[in-house]
Amino acid sequence: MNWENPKVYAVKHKNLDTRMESRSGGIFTALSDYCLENGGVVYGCILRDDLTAGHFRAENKQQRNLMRGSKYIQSDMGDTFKNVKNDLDNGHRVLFSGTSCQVKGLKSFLGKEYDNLFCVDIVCHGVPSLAVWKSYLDWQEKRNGGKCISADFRNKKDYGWDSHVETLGIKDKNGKIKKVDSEVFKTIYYTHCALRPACYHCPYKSVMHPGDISIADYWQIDKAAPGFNDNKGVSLVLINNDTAEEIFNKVSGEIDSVSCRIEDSMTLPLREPCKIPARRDEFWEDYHNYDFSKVAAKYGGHGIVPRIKKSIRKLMGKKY
Amino acid sequence: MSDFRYINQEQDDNKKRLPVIYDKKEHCCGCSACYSICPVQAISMKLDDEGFLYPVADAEICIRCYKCESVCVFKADQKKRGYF
Repeated sequence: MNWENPKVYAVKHKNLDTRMESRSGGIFTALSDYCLENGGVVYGCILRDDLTAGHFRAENKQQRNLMRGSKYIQSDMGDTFKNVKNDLDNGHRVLFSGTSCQVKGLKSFLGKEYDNLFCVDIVCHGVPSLAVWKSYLDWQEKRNGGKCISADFRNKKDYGWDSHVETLGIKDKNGKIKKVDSEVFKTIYYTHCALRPACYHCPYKSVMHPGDISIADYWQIDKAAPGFNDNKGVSLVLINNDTAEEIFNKVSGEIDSVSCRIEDSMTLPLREPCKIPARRDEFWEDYHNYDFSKVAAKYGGHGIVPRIKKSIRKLMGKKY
Repeated sequence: MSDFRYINQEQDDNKKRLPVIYDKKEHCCGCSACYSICPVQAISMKLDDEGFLYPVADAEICIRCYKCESVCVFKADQKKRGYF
């Protein structure tokens, strides 16, 4: 049973390499290491070879490492729910990570409580469209003359934890790989026009989430725990019940943590879902009827004209 | 326009109503619980024209057990939250 209010911590994994490989502060690695070291299996979202997201079952740390990092598209669950049930019924310890709706959906599918299941709830703003992601990749491939073979949705190593630059690896026909940094997909994402319709009406946008433990980027860290932030990543960790507290204590040797106040940690998804943007219908009309370069310019800030417009509006004190 | 939520409706002669897994798209989060619970694999997850996965029920295979309706906790939680 989840508590009425969570206990809040700011967390950094003690191993800096681990932290740099992770989206936030590396709490997922600490929790999943504990599960794997105790004979368990870990389920989570990976970016597949075709650069789409899907849920995956990991039996060791090498496989688990693929789950690190953020993916700004919805995960294809495939037969994950059935596989989780199978593992649980066979007595395996299971760590399942996913968005709140995936965690709640899994629990509803299972239909009963399992002592050997531990759910890590990834605090989510809403999932953008796979179609838009694919169109974006096609567009980048054409512009850069090659095939996109890797994608980092938030390049933390080169730009720092608080930045948001996507880096693609594009391989040309001679086999040479070019790194392409861009903010177009990110910018489209922040318009909220490409989010799944259900996400604007997400019932899980509150302090309490369905998982045992909720994790997120700790964007309010400078207010919540001054001096803790080194721009290499801090996890916001919400402990939602006794089980989570027990496991959090077990991994305490791997992490640096500081207890914080929930009032100082209120990121948007802990309060309410994103609002449906006024331009959503217009966005989809443009997306279906025009070349992606128009979408990139109009919604993704690509090219010189949007940049000038943005600067002028900024000077005039306008948000859009 | 045919209903995106079902396939093979024309061939189907079952008198019982088809399950309503979701009414409007804003009530489906694509978690796959309905797909997973279907005892006869009548549900597949398909991409819509915006690029999101939704359950699609095969009317010919569906045995009208309505497990897909009752497993949907997302809609129930939206209701609890007062969204519709």
